[in-house]
Amino acid sequence: MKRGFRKVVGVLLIGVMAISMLSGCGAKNNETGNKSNTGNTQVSDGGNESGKIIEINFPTSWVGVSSSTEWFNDRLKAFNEQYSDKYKVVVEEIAGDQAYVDKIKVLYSSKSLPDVISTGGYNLIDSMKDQMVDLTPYVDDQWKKSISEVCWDVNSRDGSIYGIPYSRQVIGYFYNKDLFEKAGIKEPAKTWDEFFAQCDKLLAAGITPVSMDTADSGWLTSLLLGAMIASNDEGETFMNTSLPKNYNTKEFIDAAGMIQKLFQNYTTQDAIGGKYENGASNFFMEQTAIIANGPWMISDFYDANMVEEGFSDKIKTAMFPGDVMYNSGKIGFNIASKSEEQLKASLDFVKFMTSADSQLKMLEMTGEIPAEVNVTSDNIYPLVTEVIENSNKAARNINDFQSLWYANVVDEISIQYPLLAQGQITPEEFATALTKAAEKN
Amino acid sequence: MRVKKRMMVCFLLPCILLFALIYLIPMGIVFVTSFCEWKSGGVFHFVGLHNYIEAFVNDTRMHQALKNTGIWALLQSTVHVGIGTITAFILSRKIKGWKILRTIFMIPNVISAAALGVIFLNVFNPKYGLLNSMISTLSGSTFSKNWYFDQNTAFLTVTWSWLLYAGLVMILVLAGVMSVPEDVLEAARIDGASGLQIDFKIRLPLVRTILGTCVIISATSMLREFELIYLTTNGGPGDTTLNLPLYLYKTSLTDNNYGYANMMGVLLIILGIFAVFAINKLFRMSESDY
Repeated sequence: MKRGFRKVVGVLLIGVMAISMLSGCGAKNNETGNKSNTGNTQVSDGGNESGKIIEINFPTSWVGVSSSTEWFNDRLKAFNEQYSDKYKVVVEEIAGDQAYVDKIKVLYSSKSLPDVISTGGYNLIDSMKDQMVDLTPYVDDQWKKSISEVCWDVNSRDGSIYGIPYSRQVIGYFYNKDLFEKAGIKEPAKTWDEFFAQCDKLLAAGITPVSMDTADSGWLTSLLLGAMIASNDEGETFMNTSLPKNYNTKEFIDAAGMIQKLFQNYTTQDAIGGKYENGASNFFMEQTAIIANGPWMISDFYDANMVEEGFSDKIKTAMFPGDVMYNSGKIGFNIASKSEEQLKASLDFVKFMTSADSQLKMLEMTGEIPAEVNVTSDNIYPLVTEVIENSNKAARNINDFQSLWYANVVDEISIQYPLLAQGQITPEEFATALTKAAEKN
Repeated sequence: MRVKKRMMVCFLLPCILLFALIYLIPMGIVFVTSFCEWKSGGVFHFVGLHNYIEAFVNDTRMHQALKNTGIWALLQSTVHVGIGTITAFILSRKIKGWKILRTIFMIPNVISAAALGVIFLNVFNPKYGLLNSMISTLSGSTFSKNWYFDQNTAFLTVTWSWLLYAGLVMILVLAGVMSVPEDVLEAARIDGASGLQIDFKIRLPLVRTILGTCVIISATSMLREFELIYLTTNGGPGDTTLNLPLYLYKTSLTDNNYGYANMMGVLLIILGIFAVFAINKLFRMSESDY
């Protein structure tokens, strides 16, 4: 009897151990209920549980201090209200664009991409389109015509649409007109020689001219680099070429030389190794006079938590010398759903997020330029209107490096910038390093 | 009570299955695919030793990563263990405040790598960093050096992030030193041995196996070091601070070259096994002193 009892207990223990180990491996997020933050996963549930509610997995970097957080939360709430009886959006918060991209890459390598992805402009289409849904059959003519052609082009490959655009990339640079006046500068430079002469004037007035960075993708610096490359026809072509493999061109090398000069003479000490936040912070604190960035930054100029009162009145926007503007489509929402049901739900979510209403909200709340040509508003920051006017006047229109270049080239550029900046490599060697990285693809 | 073999096997089976599923099978996949060209976009075919040949013959970045990893493993297993051991011996004398000192010495080891990375980025910041500010104050003139991103100082600065903070080694060696039998030490004192002689000739040899364990842990930790480098220099400037784990990460997630990355994974496993065996032999870990 005792022996039999011991056997039963032994078998039960084995079973409990096995079940607990295996259930630990297969745990799923099955949270239900009202909107709540469980760690960094937000589950938004419409509330009504009649009928089958389909979950839409959507990781996002529009959290925390992101300029799109308020807009996204507003849209998510509106979507929940409209589709409360059909869908549940499971939001995973991932702070930081680079962290978001890294996470998506990990998910891709394990063939577990989420239903909906939005990288905020990073090009993952080329490396991940084999797991993304070809959205061409779901985009009708009316939808296609409502959005500018450049936006569809950047989201398409070989005639197939892999991304639904919602904004245009329109980038120039911002400058502090008070600091310009202090240095005796009346208006933005028309040529790069004039730009450097203005930098000298700013230096003479005790002002550091330009905010730059090298960390992550060296966003601020690379915007200047791209604008310098596009100073002539060949350069403009290069900055509209997808996935270039050769960076050993005269335009690129000359531009790298100018970037080297900027690093060595015209920027802050923390630019080398610094992140975007360092550069932005220097501009907000009026320690630098110029920063290259897009209109999404404009809302920060009015944010009392980030700048002093009246800061926005000091800021103006300009085209890059040579009347160059970044003026292109931006990588939009991608879908990687694996079943028809999930795909339909994801399409409805993406359609909502990219609708004219959502784009209008985005324009008014963040300053990002809508992809839809007819979306305009009187209720926007004046600087946004200036940026749009510049984009319409630009002589040369280019696309940004994050959308165009290979991911490993974007990574390589940020580790080569410090060497270039400190004169440890030449512009030619810088170009060769990027070419070598591109050739690995 | 006779232990039934059948019951033993039943109890061990779930664990063995889990180990096989999570470790053995994936390791097998890594090993097999290291002989394949496997990239994103569905590229997958057998290429034999091509990845290995490419790594050792043509890939200069791999050479740099291997060199950096080797230097760090060597420094960690000598200097780092040495600092921890010396600290343990000092603390073993139970000087005034030794318990507080022991706790303070452990603090860097209990802080997460992410937090440490941010702390060091600020300490070595060229504009407002603590180190530059201290040097400016002491020298009386403005001093600015980009410690992390100057090719001449980047390697040393990254090394500094972990070399001195030997809290784990200190704790392990201290435990070993304190467990040396008192009668052995008493006999040494009666024979006229000084404090230093007792430390070097009695205690140190008796903590041989613990020292060997510390050297293994320290050396192999450099085969896994990723966060601090990624969060500070990301392997730059250029490839000055690149190590094998970070290169593996970039190859798999940025270059999307999974076959080549798995080859690096196999190399790391081989290096780890070699390090453990070599250090075991060196410290005669299987021999006992008692």
